[in-house]
Amino acid sequence: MRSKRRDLSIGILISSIFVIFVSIIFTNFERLRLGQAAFLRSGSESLWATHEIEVELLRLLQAMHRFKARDPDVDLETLRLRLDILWSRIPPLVEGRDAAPLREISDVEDLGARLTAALQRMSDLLDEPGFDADAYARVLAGIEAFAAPIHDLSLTALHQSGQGHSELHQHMDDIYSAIMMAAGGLGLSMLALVTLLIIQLGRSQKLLDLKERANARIEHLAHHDVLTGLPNRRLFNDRLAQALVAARRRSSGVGLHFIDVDNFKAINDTFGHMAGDEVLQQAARRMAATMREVDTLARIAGDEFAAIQIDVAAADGVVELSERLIKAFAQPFTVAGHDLQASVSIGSTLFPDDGNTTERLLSNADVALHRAKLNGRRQGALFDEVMMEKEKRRRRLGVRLEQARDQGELSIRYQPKFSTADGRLMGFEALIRWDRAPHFEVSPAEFIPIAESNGSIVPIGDWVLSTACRDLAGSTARHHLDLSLAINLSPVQIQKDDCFRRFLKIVEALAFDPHRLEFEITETSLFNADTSTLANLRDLHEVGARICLDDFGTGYSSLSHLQALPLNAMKLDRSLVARLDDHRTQCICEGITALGHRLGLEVVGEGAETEWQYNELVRMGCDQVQGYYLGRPMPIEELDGFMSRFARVPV
Amino acid sequence: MLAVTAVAGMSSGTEASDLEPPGAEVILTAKGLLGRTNVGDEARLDRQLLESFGKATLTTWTPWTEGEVEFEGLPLRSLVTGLQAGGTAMLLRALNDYHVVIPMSEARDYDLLIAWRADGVDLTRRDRGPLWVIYPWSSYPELDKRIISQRSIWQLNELEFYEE
Repeated sequence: MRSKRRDLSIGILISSIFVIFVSIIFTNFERLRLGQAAFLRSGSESLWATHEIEVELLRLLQAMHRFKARDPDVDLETLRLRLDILWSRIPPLVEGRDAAPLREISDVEDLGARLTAALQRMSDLLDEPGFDADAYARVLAGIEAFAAPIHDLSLTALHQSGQGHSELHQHMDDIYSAIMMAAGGLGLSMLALVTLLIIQLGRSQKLLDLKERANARIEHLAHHDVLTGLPNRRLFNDRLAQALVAARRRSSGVGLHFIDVDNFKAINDTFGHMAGDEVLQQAARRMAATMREVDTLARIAGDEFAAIQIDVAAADGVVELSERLIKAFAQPFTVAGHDLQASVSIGSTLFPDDGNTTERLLSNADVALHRAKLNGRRQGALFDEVMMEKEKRRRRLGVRLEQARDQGELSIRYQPKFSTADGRLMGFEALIRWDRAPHFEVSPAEFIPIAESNGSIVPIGDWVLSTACRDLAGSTARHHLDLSLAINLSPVQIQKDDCFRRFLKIVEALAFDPHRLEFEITETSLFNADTSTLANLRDLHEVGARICLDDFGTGYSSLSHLQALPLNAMKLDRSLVARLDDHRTQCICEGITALGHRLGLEVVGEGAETEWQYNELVRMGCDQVQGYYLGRPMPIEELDGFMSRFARVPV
Repeated sequence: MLAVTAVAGMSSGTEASDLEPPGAEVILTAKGLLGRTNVGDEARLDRQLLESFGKATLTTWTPWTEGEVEFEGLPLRSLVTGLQAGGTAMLLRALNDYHVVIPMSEARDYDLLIAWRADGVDLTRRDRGPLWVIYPWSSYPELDKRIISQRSIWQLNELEFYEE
């Protein structure tokens, strides 16, 4: 009887310690979350280091407690990992620039040294053979003693970062009261629990329930996105796997949708991250409202959501949900007094029609999403095999394109331009080709968008510039001609901050006169022009390079570009020239030419394929003409011959 | 006949010879859009395999160390080439589940290093090893910003290439 009572007392004691421990972990998790939110706003780097060390300390303590409680998931190796990770968080606190402000007001070095010593004791203990429970308890207590000072340090860092920010102080007060309330509540409940246990002398079933609830909450945190409260990627993966298992059993279908918020970066950049977060929250609510309870909407990355739709009979059902989701964005979002118009692109796929495995479905949805984006965003696309083939080819070409330049598979053709005033050869436009690989040719219309999407257009563009400058410098010097060189620029290239700097370096290294360079940009590249695009164009113009607006008269011809940009010339689009025999097209071309001249721009007609078209362009007053009638794009080997024959227009 | 050769020529770019299996402790697992793999559709890499892709040193200051440090490791770009990896971004994960995304373009524009040695000493877990992604802060002042500090992931052990 006495020994039974003793067992019970020990049981209650251990349980109480466990409850206190769980409570501490718990309050800390909540506070850390708040602290993290404050950290993101405050801009202090030292907060990161203190936050990291506090989290890793708690993780080590949690692991040590679980190890002590013989949790099979925690072995010596886990303890060593947690120990090493915590150890590695000490140096960022005691050295380096980021935590320097913290060291001025707190003796971090001393704290670091003491923690290192405590960890060394633990490390030594783990290396000893056998398990000495007393020694373990001492080491544990030694490390636990750091929870309070490290928490104080965390708060010190938080205070420091918030100096002068009353909002942050208010936030801190909120955190304090939240902690106090939580601690008070926990204290009371613990007291009640212990009393209950003593009275009932029963088994600690209730404690186990409490533990389960705590675990459920931790579980919830681990599986949900903090911002929107939606399932996160991990839970999404589980749900998808479950949905497929259930669908196989019931022979039903499952729809999978990948949903990307279009141009989300622009919203963040323009209105700030707070507004961006608010848009994501509202978008999550709107999308969830269009879906059934049984379906899953998850946030799987920054601006990426995914939906799982169960019991779908046919593709119609999948398309229907995708359309509903797109419509959910028809109304603007009101954020901080602004009306923001957002939209989504959606890629959808259907199990089992399109694929049998989760991997396959995920890849399908991805392919379909990619297609929806290529088709111009704010729309959905349903996966099909043709799409898959196109995507496979795109990816294959993308990977291969990365090496194409080094393998010498790319080449440049030069197409001549002539003056209409005196028929002189004025210069060449450099045109890239992927035609030097054996048995393999890809048109620029296909590979340039790929190069733009994977970024390889940047090194390729540099290569075109340097190669063309070198080629043309050699040829023109031999013929004593002062010819211009036109280079096409992709929007991706001019958006790069260092575009101008790199170009200038290339041109200077080759001693090529920048006045002879002309950069052709399309109107679409100006459609979303940001500050770096405009700065690059101005800088290029400043050093003497000419800027020419390519393909004018197609797409979104906007007169505002003509007024806002440092332009020298514009090109009449070849599609207009091809239809010059139509009276209306002729009027449009005459109008554009007159407009260009009034603005002081040179007007270039491109795509002249017949003598008649050439004469028409001359009659309208185009200053320069380019086209097959006057000369096809030719390889470098033919440049010399061409220059000696056709210093003047070949007609 | 010509067509057959063309197809074979094209596929050789993506379905290249597989990697050797790892001989020692795996310290980095790469997955996602890979041209070369050794275990399933992953590339599990030990130190020797990593070194087979390339080796370089990078001397730079960092926000967490004093003075300049000479790091030695594998240029991230060489890993991308070595694995024939595709995609527009990579997700990097650390031993404590910290994770971060680095756009592929950044790996192309800057000489990022997956470091395993600092000032001649192998990085252990306690020194933020065995692998630590280092940016060339000393050469590019524009890298001194928070987003870059966050991407300089230490205790790196997993890397996934994907299309954004």
